[in-house]
Amino acid sequence: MTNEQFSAQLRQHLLSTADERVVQGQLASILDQVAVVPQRPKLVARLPWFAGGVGSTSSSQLRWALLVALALIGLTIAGAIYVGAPGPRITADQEVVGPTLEPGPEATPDRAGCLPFLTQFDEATTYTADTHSLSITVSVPATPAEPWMGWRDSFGLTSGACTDRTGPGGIAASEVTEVDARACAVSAAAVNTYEEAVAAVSTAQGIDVLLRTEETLGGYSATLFDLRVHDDLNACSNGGLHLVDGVPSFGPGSGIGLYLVNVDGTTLAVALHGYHSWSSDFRATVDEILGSMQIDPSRPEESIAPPPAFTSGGIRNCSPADTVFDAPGTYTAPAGSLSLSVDVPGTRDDPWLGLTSRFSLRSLKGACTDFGRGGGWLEASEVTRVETEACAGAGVAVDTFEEALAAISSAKGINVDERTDVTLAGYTGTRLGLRLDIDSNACAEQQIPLLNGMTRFDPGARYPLYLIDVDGKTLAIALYETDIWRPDVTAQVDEILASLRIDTTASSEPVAADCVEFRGPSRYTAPAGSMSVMVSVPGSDAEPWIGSRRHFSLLRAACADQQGTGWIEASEVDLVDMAACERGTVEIHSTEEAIAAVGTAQGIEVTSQTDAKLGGYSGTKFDFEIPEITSRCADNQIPLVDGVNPFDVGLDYTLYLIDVNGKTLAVALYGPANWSATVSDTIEIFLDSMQIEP
Amino acid sequence: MRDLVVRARQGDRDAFAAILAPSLGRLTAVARMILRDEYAAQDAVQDASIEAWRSLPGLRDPDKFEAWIRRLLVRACFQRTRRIRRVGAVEVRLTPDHEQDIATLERDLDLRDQLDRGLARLTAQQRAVVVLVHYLDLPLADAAQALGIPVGTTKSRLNSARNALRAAIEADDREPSRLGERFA
Repeated sequence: MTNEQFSAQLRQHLLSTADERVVQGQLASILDQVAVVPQRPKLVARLPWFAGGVGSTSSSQLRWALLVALALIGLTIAGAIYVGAPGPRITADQEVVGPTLEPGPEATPDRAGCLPFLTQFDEATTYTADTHSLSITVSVPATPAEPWMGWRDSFGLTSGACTDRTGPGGIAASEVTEVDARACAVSAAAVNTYEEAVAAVSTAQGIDVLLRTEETLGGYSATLFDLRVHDDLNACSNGGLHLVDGVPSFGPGSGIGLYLVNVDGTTLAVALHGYHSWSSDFRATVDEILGSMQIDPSRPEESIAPPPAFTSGGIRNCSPADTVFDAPGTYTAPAGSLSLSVDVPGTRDDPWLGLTSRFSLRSLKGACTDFGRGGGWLEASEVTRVETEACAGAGVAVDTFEEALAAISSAKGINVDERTDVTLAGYTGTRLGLRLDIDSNACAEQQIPLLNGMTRFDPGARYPLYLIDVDGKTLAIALYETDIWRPDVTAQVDEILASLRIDTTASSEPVAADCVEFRGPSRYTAPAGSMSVMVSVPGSDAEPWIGSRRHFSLLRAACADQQGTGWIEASEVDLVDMAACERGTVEIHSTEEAIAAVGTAQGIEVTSQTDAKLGGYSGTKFDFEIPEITSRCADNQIPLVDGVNPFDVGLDYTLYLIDVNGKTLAVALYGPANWSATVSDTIEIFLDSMQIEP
Repeated sequence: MRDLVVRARQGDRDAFAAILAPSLGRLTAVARMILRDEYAAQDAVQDASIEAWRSLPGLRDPDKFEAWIRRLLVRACFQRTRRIRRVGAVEVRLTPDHEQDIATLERDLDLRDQLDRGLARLTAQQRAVVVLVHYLDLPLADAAQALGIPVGTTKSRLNSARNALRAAIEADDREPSRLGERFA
């Protein structure tokens, strides 16, 4: 076979086996995350903010160097607003304000003179901030005479005070995924390893590597480059070279120190700006900071978006699209064109995880990626294809229950050692005991596909499989790893199966991925800005409630129509519209400011203002109305505080503003005067049971 | 398309959804081929999509969106290879095979099986270059850009992958099919 023939065969094979199917809920899951992940700002957009003054004592040459350094520092600060990463943790006596909204062009300095994303350190401070998946901690030997600024949204330190933002240099850190080795001439190239990154920087155009040394940083091996950027960078827009992504661009002629650190396979860049202009004293200070650096690679990437991750009962790493049951609840998910619901007996010590995109329910151990041993696991699928020769690519389409049963029974390597008539959810079917005696070496990951839409099976193991005839459709429910189930798990799964409800009229479209439906007592946890809020939900079939995964919002309704009366939302407040859409939006830096702003806001009529407490935190409760139409606001809705829904004309509202360790949590109740007694009682339960994780 | 990218670059999530929706199947197929793990493939597509959204403001040329997201996907796949989860769901696509005579069908199945097993034995990096060149039909230069490696390296990696595939198939041809033995 010639090369051409072989290539043609290969292409034909790839085209014929390509699986371009989009899994149900896949796009929705991505868009759910996109909805809460902000975009990285374009760096040049921030430049005008940082045209800070230059020290008066400099010679002209030094003034130029400092000007470049300051521009770089500005870029550093701007570039390091690494959206999506949680804010830093600062342990000192300074007032620490939580992560802010990305500042807009009208952002104003705070009372200390710091722009909203900066914190000034006037004393020795431990500063911790995150890159994409790493957490970096350093000691900053700041003093009132020699302050430092740290930024809140990613790792970055700059010498100087917020009031003038001048100083000899700064440190920025980011994980490296791209190196521009062609000085802006073509797109930057992806680097997948530390070695690739070092090689790419070593040979990059547009810079001279003056010195390259092997070092350690934060306990990890590193390469330190002493770089000088060429004066002529014609191909680079705005005159800056983005040598590595994540850290700010390097200006023409600048001297840069650049560490590339190999952190367990992740490449961390630590850029030292103004490197060639540093005094020996300043260099010693930076050395002290770098010497104190600790790098924690354990920060899971799954926790990055949305901040905070959708967690429940302290269970981490859960996808916001999936549901953790750490209290009894109802799990509803699609199995092909069917919609299945079961009651899940979850507890805080014995939680379960239900996928949203398809019916898959597993008991958890410590995290959403830790299923533990001996826990329950069941999956369901509407069967349309059976692999009759698993791993050989041979299978048959099945249109009926009988065809599915026959195909499974005759599949090669599948031994059926049990066959029992059963009834589930009012539908009849058969319970099969399957043992897969198949050489799995030919199978991907040595696991065996048998039925479409289900997790592959392990060779040699035994699987109970329910096949149910649901009005002509075949529903399969497989139980995984039953050989090692704990006895209590068996009983739990029996209860789950006994509670099965099948909706044959459900649309093949998945239920809105953002909608969590509570038809039994459960617990609801969702983000409110950088905080996490949890409440007990006494839902029932007669009185279901729905919650959003993206942000704290509970509505007395069902996911199917999402309409009802009885609505509570919570959000972290950063902005208050004091002038009813008349350019009166102000940034809020404390709960006191928020309370004052709402108390004097135009367009609303406050009927009462009292002290209140939620989740153990204190604040103020406003009752107010919006008495008249204001044409300045879109749809006659006043966006009084950011994060919660705007308020409509003609209704009454209750708004709590709660001080949560310096952050302001808004909890809004919409139209309580129109609520039924049951809804009012339920909202009281929410408020009484509220727990807030700051 | 360009207009949508420009709008998405300015923060329009609906525009981003409109760009992503028609590409999602193809991106997922590429990830499935490279990773051979359903969960990991979906995760890689999700990683690449989110990263695309986050980094869109920095995309210099809107016309290069497709190549750009492809590169993000390949990178996400490589990152996923380091932490592929054990459990994988599979939904096997039904391939039309009607109107073929039995002999042709058997021969095709045999080759398909050989190619599939051969691909499984390649590294993710080798599979990636095979998929980019032979499935997406990209010129070597574009594949190189997606992989973030020079064209020469891409070419040699492709040759190496093809040689490994051929060797696997020839080895299979020298001995009876393991599946044939088992199921005979």
